[in-house]
Amino acid sequence: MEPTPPDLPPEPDRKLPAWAILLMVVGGVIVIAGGICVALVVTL
Amino acid sequence: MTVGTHDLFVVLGVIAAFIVLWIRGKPLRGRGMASLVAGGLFTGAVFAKLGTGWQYLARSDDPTLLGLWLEGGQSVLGGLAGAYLGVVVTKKVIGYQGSTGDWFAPAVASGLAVGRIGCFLTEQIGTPTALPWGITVSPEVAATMPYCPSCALGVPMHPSFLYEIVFHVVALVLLIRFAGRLAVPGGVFKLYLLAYAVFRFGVEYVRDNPDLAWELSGSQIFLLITVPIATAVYLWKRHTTPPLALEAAR
Repeated sequence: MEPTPPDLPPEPDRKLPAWAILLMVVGGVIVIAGGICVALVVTL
Repeated sequence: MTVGTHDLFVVLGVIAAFIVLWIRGKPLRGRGMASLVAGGLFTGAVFAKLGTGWQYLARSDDPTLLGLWLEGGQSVLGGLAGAYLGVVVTKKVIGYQGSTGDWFAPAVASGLAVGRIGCFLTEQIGTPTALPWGITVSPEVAATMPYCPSCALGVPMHPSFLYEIVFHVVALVLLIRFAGRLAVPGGVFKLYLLAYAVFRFGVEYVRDNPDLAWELSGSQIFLLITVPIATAVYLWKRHTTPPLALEAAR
C-alpha cells in the first residue's frame, strides 16, 4: 500500500451515495430558504 | 424589504462558503468533502430553523408548519452548532479519521459575512447610540421591521450586524493568514468559534434582542451553557487522545 503524502487528508472508509448527498443539500436549502422556494414555485 | 431578501442572502452565504471551501479545501476534494458538506448543511439548516422557531411559536396566535417555515427565521448559533454536529456525525458514518475544521473555518467566516447582509437589511438594527456611526431608518423602512423596537423611535442605532460582518471579514483574513500554523489539528477553527462566541456575547448588548432571563438574551444564555461544555469536551478529548493519534491527525 502506498503511503499517503503528508499534505493530503486521509481517505474516508466509504462515501455517502450521490442521491443521499443531493437529498441533504436540496433539503438543507429548502429548510433555510422558505421564502425563495415559495417565490420560485409561484413564479414557475 | 421582505422575507425573500433575508433568504436570498442566506443562500448567497451558503454559496460563498462553498466557493471558499472549494478553493481553500482543495486537498479535501474527492476525500469526503461532498459528504461532509451535505451532512453539515442539512443538520445546520435544521438546527438554524429550530434555534428561532420557538420564537415564532411563542408569538403566533395560530402557529402553522408553513408559518414556521416561512416566518420562523434562522439562528446563526443554532446553524453553527448543527453544522458542527452534522460534520462530526458524517465523519463517523463515512469513517473519516482526520481533522477538517481548519478547511471549514474560512468557509464559515465568509458564509456568515455574506449571510449577515440579509440580517442587516431586514432585522432589527441595534440599540440607540450617540456614536457618530449610528444609523437611522425612515418610518417607511421601520414599518417593514416589526421586531425592531428602536427603529420607530427615529434615533441613531448601533449597526450591530455590520459589526458582525466586520468581525467575520477580519476573521477570514486571519484564518487564511494563519491556516495550518497551530500545532493542534482543527485548532484554528475552534479558536475562531471561541472568538465568535465571545464577540457575539458582547454584541448582543447592542443588538436590541429581547431579554430571555436574568437580563440576558436567548443567544447569551445559549453561549453561557454551550461554550463551557464545548471547551470542557475539547480539553477532555485532548487529555484522553493518545499522542500518536494526534500526530496522525495532523
